[in-house]
Amino acid sequence: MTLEAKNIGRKYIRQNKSFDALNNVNLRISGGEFVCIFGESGSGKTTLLNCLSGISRPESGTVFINDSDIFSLREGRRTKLRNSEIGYVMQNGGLLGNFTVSENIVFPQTINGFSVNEERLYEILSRLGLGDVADSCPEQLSGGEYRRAELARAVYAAPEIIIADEPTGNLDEDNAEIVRNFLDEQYRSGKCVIVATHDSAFVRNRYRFYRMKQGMLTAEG
Amino acid sequence: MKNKIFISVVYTAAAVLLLAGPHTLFKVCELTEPPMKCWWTVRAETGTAVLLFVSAGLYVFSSTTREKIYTSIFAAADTIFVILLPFVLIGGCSMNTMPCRTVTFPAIYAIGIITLIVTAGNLIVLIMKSGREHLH
Amino acid sequence: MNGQIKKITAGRAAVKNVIHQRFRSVVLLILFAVTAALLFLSSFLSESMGEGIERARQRLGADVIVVPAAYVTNVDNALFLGKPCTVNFERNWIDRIAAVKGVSKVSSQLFLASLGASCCDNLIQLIAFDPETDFSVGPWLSEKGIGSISDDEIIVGRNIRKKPGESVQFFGRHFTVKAVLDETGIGYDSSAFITYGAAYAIAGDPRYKNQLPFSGNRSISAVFVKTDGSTASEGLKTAVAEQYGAAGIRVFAGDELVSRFADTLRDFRIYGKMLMFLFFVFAGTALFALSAVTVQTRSREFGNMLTAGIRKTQIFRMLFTETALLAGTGSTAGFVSITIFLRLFDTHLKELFAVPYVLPDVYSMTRIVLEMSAAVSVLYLISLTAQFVRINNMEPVSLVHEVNG
Repeated sequence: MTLEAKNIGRKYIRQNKSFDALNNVNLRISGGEFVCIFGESGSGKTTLLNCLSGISRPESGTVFINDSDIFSLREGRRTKLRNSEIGYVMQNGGLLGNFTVSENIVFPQTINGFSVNEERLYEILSRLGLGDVADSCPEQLSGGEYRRAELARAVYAAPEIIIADEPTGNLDEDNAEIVRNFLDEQYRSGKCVIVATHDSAFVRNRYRFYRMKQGMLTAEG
Repeated sequence: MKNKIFISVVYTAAAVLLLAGPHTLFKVCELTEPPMKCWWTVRAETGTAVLLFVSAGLYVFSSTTREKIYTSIFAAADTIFVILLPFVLIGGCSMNTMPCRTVTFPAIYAIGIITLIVTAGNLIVLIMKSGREHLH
Repeated sequence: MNGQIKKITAGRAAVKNVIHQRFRSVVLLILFAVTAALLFLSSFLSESMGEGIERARQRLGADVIVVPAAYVTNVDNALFLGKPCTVNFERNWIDRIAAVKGVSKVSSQLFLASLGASCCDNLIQLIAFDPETDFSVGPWLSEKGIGSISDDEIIVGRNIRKKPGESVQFFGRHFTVKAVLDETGIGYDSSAFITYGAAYAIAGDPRYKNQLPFSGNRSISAVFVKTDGSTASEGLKTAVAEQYGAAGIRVFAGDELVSRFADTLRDFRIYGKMLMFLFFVFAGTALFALSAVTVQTRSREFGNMLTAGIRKTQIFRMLFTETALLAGTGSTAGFVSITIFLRLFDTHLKELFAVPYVLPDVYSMTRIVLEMSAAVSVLYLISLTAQFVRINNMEPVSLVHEVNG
């Protein structure tokens, strides 16, 4: 499995001025690799992850998964990719308030016609420490439980690519450690993991590090 | 709290309409000597209206789901009486064009049916809530 | 975790959303219910009046009706509005009119306003008739297998709440109810039919000579005429009027009496359709606006769903189901509520409109419900348009960030 961004660029208009959110960004990641992208707020990390996941179309360049241009696909096919190949945890995403944690996790799969994989569900709930809140609604969760539930939903379908935007943002150290260890496990099992973060605890051996500044991506270390 | 306010307002409104309506908005036939059956029906509805007031008060002061359920059952039974009094228990004039038949009794039936539907719906919700509380 | 987790389909998701978003669901339910009720009401009232006018035409049975000129309004009110009156007309008019060319059959009725009855405080219209010659009530009696009635028996209209075999008293005389007339939609519903024998016995009672100032067996109130087919009712009316018009009578074609109600009904239908159209436009606009606001507030939810890999077709299916549930439940509640209301206040509405009025049959009611359901469905589709357009044209990331327009 490979994920490649080629020359992608995207601009934003703010107060009648144009800004480069992404400026000719290139990045190639294979299965079994963990990529950390550091950068200040507004540097373009989120915009990059949105393009990599297919929820935002770049104005120039494109994104390939296994050498297939995802933006040449129809919207529905791209959405299907996020249901099977890509698991994306947004920075300001959200669970569906009318459903329990368990229902939120299985919802994207079951609404598209798949049966509930109970073994997989219990495994994820257990691994992310959500067993006690499986039947709770999102409004009843703590900040840490909420973030872990979002991560659980993203990985339930066992996607090959996991993209997470500030997965440990605003979490206490215990919750942050659970999330970091879980993502590390996914990488060790051969998944492709991309994380945008300010969390320096993500600095570990065998990870690849990048820095985002004013829309430009540079490798580090 | 919202539930308490809503239900007690419904019961109070129904009671007020049953008490005052037959003498104002949907006037019953004029009092004659001897009084006609419809007049007695309206008098009897005064009793059911008072019981609905009592139900409203009891509901507001109910603190558990079980108490609310019992109060609702009581109100439902009272509302059934509201409907049965003009329909079969006492009745009214023998002419369909009399005021009691054209306006008063239809209004009483409408009040009774609406109150009964609200009470029944509320009972279902309360019983389900009671079942969930029992499980936990 | 308690128990097995069920598959979340678009349908189940829709039900959950409807139950959890209570305020929005209640507002939509009420909007659909009120829309359905008002659309149904207008059609229902028109249909009831149309049915009533048709029944009136059939029940009157006469091609021509002759009444004393001084009592035209009284007879008209008695026949169509059930307002009791006492009308005095010389009996020999029966023979005089029977002799006019083109007349096939003649019959008469005598209208007496009761003093009151054991059943009711209001005055009742007593109508004396001859079961053998009458072609208003007579045919109905024949259909029911009732050949004749005795002087002690009475046929009551639908509005008099008496059953066959029960007793009722008029002018101090006891009558046994022989039958209850089917609903006619006209004054016959509030009338009671007795024989001429009984009527003349009452009129001959000295106690009632002030109320019934006619004597002997020589009074009637109106003559009902059937044409022999050689001339239409208008032609026969003209013939009778030409021959006897100056003698203090008024002649009406049977259709003529009923046609003014048809004019009222036509006006009602025009105004009703205008109001329906205006309300339709208003409801459509309200639903459209409500949907737009709903989509605005749920944009983030839709964006999250798309990001999580839920396809647009599934989101649309969920929205369809949500709105269908609310539209279906609301409309049904609206139809049922208004039907119950119309049934409860049936008699009051008849008095209010002063037009013959009969509840439509099941076939007509079903047709009205289907027509109005189609109208509500159009509104339902309108309300979904805003949602489709919005979701379809935006990227998932824009939907997630879209909060305040």
